[in-house]
Amino acid sequence: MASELSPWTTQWMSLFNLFTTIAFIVGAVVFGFMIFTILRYRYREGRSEPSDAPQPGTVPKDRGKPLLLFALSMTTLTIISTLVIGTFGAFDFLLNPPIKAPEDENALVIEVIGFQWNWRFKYPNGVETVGELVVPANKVIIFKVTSIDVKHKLGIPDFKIGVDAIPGYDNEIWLQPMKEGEYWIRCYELCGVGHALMAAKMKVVSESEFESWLESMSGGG
Amino acid sequence: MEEGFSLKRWLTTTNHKDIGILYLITSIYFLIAGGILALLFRVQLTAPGMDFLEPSKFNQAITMHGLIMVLWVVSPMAFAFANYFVPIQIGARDLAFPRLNALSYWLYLFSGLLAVSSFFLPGGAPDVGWTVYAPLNTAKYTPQPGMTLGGLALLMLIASITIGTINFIVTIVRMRAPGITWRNLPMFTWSILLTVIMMLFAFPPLAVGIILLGADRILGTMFYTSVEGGDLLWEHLFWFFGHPEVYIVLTPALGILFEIVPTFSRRPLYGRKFILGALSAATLISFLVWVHHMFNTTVNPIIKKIFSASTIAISLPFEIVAVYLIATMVGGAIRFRTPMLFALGSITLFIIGGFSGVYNASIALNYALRGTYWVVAHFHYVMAGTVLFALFAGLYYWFPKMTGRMYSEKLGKLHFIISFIGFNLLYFPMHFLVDMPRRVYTYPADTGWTIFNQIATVGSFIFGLSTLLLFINLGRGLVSGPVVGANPWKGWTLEWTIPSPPPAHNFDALPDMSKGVLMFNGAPMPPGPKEHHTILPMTLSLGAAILFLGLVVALPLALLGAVILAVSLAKWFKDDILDRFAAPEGERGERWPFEGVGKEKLGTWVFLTSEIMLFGSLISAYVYVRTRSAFWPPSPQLHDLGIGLLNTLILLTSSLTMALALEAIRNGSLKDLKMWLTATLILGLGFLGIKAFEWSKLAAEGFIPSANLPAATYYVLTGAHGVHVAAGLVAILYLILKARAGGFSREDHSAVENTGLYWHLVDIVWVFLFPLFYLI
Repeated sequence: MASELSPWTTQWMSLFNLFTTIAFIVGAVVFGFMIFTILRYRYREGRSEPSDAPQPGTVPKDRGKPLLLFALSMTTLTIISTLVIGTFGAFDFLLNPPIKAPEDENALVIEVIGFQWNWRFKYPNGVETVGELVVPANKVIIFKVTSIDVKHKLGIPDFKIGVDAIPGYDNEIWLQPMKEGEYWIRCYELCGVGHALMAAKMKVVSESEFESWLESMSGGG
Repeated sequence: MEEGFSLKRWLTTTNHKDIGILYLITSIYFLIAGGILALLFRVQLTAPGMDFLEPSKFNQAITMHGLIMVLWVVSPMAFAFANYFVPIQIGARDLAFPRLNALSYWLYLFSGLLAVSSFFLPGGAPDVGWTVYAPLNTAKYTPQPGMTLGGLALLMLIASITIGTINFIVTIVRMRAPGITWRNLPMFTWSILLTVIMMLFAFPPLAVGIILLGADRILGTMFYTSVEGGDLLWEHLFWFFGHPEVYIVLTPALGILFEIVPTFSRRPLYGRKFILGALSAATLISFLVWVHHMFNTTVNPIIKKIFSASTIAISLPFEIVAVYLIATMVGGAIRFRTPMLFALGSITLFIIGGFSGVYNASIALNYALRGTYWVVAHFHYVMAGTVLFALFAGLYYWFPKMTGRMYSEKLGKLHFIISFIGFNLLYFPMHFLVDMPRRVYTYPADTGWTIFNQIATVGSFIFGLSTLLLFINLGRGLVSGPVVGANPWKGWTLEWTIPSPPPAHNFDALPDMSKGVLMFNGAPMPPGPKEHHTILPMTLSLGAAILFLGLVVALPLALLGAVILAVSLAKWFKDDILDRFAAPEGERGERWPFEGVGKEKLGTWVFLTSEIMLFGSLISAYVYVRTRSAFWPPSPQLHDLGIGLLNTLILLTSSLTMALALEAIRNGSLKDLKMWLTATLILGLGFLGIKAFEWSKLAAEGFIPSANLPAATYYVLTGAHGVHVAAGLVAILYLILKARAGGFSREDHSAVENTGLYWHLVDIVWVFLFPLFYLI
């Protein structure tokens, strides 16, 4: 990540890194414990059987102190809380786009309609494209995602964002792309034989480029 | 076992050990089938732009791979061990209902064959992914008959599982030998008990999902094509089953680890009580996390948050399980025999799969993870890795017990090393395919995904082919392995105290563990004159399979199936009336807290629980689509309240006559019993007759199932209820025939009581349906 793709992508990445850091620490402890145990307590010549070893037809002794359970639960609950708080923070960020209302002039509402097997994009001024989405950089884009046939999932992998396209429902998601360039949009829900080919391009261009593109599209159609 | 090897024995057996072996062989057959499908699509994914499998074939392969592996391999293989070892571990001679156990097996086998046979129908097998999302699953998008056949096969499997569930719950609760208290119950048996409890609650919603799908596909209703039902209705029903299913698959695997790890590290399980507490908690929470499969849908954000937290939190009990398994080995003298190696492999994969699962549980990360190979990596680490390695561990562990011979340790270790490497080569690279969509038959070259796919494909062949070592090893062991004694691993549970392989009746005398140490009590139980063999479970299942195949392929075939089914059922009843068949039962033992409840009655209660789940799910689906509909005509406009009231009255009266029938036989009067049963039968027939009249009248007015959702829900719900009434009438007819043969007495009339319980439940269901369809 040289520079920021979008505020959400940054949030997602740092959350992912938090999860990964914790996974590595916990993994190191648990696997360390496991490897140590296996090596330390492996059977060797002359090593005698533990006194409480399982015997045929004899109920084994109950063992294990609540202390380990307590320590384990407390540690885990702390970790879980960290993860849940991080998750809710990022989720709330996504629930609250940085605009006042959907009519906000800084926002651009685009209807996205999945169908077997491509994506149709409808702009507020009536312009429609298929398989190609052009959006201005730095602006908040609100996607209203739906489908006209089966379930799809709109995914823009580079931006770490995606949402289901469900027939009869408008599923809203927003994105503020900061970096001009071309990105892939793919379908992430099996939707029939063309699922693998259901991809579209997303072009992030400068505001002025976008205006002239939209002009040319509406002029032509 | 006394009859030696013959086809007849295997077709007619009701012995739990024989059925365990049948389950084992069948699940291995489906494992090979599902594995070959996986290799086929791994070849297709080796490089971008391959055309080894065309898209539709690819989709069929992934769908059937998923369905087969989840439903026909991992769970049944665990139940092979459960069949074989749960009765022995609790000191019983067999399961509570041996004939029903055989029926479970044959329904399982034929349902699997039915599902696989969908490949050979025009249009091929289901190709919508194992999650079968709506509306892709409806006739408009998947017209092929194979899809319908797959649904029917699943219903048959659900029947098998429901019967098995009842059998295991009753067996574990009521057939424990003296001293096998809940405290002393072996962990594998505990895990099976928790598993079947989850099954009991999880599968009825799936059955309802499939029944609604069947209605859509066959009757043209609009449950999944409408916006009011649609994708979300399917997902709620499917995932209410689907998430517990993950734990249904996992829990028996953990149970195997709880047996193997202590045995080979020579130490008692650490924190057994805490592990049980953790697993019980997980069993409960498993029903409270299903929405995490729906994080990208339009479900309310607050609900999403709750489910995200509950899903992350479910990692706690499983972390306790993993850490306690490791803690068990501390202070031991660990022997790395093949079962232990596979167990350690399973724990390792469990921890890795647990980590990647926590990522998925995060509602924020889920926006990008859902539908990608990250998810594929996660659930294969858990459901394929953890579970399959544990099952292989169990297979090596119990092989000497089941056969009396030892496998080759050298080959076993080789199998472990190669399969462990193969598995991780196959699935670890998928973590790096975090942007690649699942279930794509091809992918572009410029994505950087190729190398990871290639490593995965190589891994898949290493992992797949390594299984040959298992088969060679066990095959050789079976033929020429060294003979072993009763207890090669020095395990504590009861199966290790009897010869390898165990005798047909398991124990020569009644085991008793009241003192914490095994003792045998009393004289050996003499083999009675009654039959322990019957072909009927097989023919009944075969009939059902032919019936279902016929429904999809050719109706005359369906007729043939129905005849086989009916004849088998009639013969089954006849066997019962003549009291030909005997199930061995311990005379005394641990039954807490159900000392006062007979095993048939307990079985009936368990069955009724699953029925309540079934109708609960049906009614929930009704409420769901009705509350989501902008317009729903009030019931009195649609339905004739007079007819509804009349039918309610008839059904309630039939409950009364049924109660009087029970009262009659309690007083010892066969004559009154017959009279009241006949009255119930007539009332039931009257109910169905009026129902048929009502249906035909409505249909003539154009109110047919495909008309709209009010009609669809009406026909499906009252139809499901009608089928239950009809089944109840068949049972009552059986009671009448048995009563005529003098089969009931003041002391012995449990069938009357249990049929009565069922009949009252069916009536109570109507008491719920009546207001829904006639009053509000």
